[in-house]
Amino acid sequence: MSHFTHLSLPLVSGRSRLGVDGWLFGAVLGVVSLGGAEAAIAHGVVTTYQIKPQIQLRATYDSGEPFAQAQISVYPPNQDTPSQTGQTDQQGQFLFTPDSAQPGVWQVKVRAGGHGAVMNIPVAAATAAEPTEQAPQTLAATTGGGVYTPLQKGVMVGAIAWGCLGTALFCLRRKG
Amino acid sequence: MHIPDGILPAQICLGGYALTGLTTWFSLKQINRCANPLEGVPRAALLTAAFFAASLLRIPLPPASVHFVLNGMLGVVLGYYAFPAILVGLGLQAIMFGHGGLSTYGVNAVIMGIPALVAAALFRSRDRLFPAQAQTRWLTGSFAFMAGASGVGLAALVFYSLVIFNLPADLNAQAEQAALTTLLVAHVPLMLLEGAFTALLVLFLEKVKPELLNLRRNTHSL
Repeated sequence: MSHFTHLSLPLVSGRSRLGVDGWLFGAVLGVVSLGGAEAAIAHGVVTTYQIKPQIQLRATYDSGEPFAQAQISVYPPNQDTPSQTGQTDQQGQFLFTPDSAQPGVWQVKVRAGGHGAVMNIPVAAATAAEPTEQAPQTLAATTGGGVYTPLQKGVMVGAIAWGCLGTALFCLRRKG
Repeated sequence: MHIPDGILPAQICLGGYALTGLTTWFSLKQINRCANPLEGVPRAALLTAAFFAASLLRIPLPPASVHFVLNGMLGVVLGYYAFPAILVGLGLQAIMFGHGGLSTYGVNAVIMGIPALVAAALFRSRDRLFPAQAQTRWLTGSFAFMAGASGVGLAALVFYSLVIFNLPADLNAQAEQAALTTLLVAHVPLMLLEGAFTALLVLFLEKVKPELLNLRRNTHSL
């Protein structure tokens, strides 16, 4: 859908009422109105819109705090130079629109202060002529082990500590 | 302090693996020279667990957040055993919590393991510089503090240097340098904390089990 606004000046002429002066005024006004038609169009506002799929990233530390002000580089498939760069906001969020003419796996690098992550996002080619409403998908990429609850972390630390204690006791055992 | 995957170029990652392999071989060779190499394994196993859990203990120092490393303490107490212990601990951290990456495993071992050996050498220099009669508790505590603080301080410096000299061209170098400098400065309080913790631990061990620290009798120590 497009919206187009065209402004023009009204041409007023009245021979019987205005006489010679009226003619002159009308002629000048007409010249101004017709000659300035292009300029009037240039002052118009043209607004169009297009629905495109957008990808919203949210980067957090594994402790849950937002990865704020981190640098983002977006790489199209099979390219070494980023097509877009930017920064995450205070909530660790970043929004970008992949070019659907370049389907494949887009790579997004997030980093700040030597910390960061690499995310691979598959982007399908645009097939439908009309955009359809889709439920937002949430995908996650972590730098490794994932995000665990404190209880899960506690169990993991306990398991490792138990293993280390077992190793220590094994080495301290009395040799019969 | 842990460098994740995708931050460093492949050559640096391979170099990290090579240096880690070399240091591990050297440490194991030194351990093997002692009469009973298994003697130090129980201590190494217990401190590996401590090192593994330490990375979960975060200290919020706005705008950064740092975590305990304890590599200096491991160096002081374990000597050459510190490097294999850190190697095992880092592997477990990478696999279970995603702290660090598998491609940067070697680099992370260099970042934390080699400063641990330096910290151990610093603490052992006490024996060379001062005769046994002159070794007061204050002197021992001071050397332990310096060793504990230098472990994490050196590790932070190596981390900073590795990242700053390998910034990709498409990155805003100024912003990254500012973030790295903030992180480096945030490690100063951590150095003091780890130094104080190491000093207290060494003074405690010297009182209750001095043979763990009496390095004149342990051939495997630095």
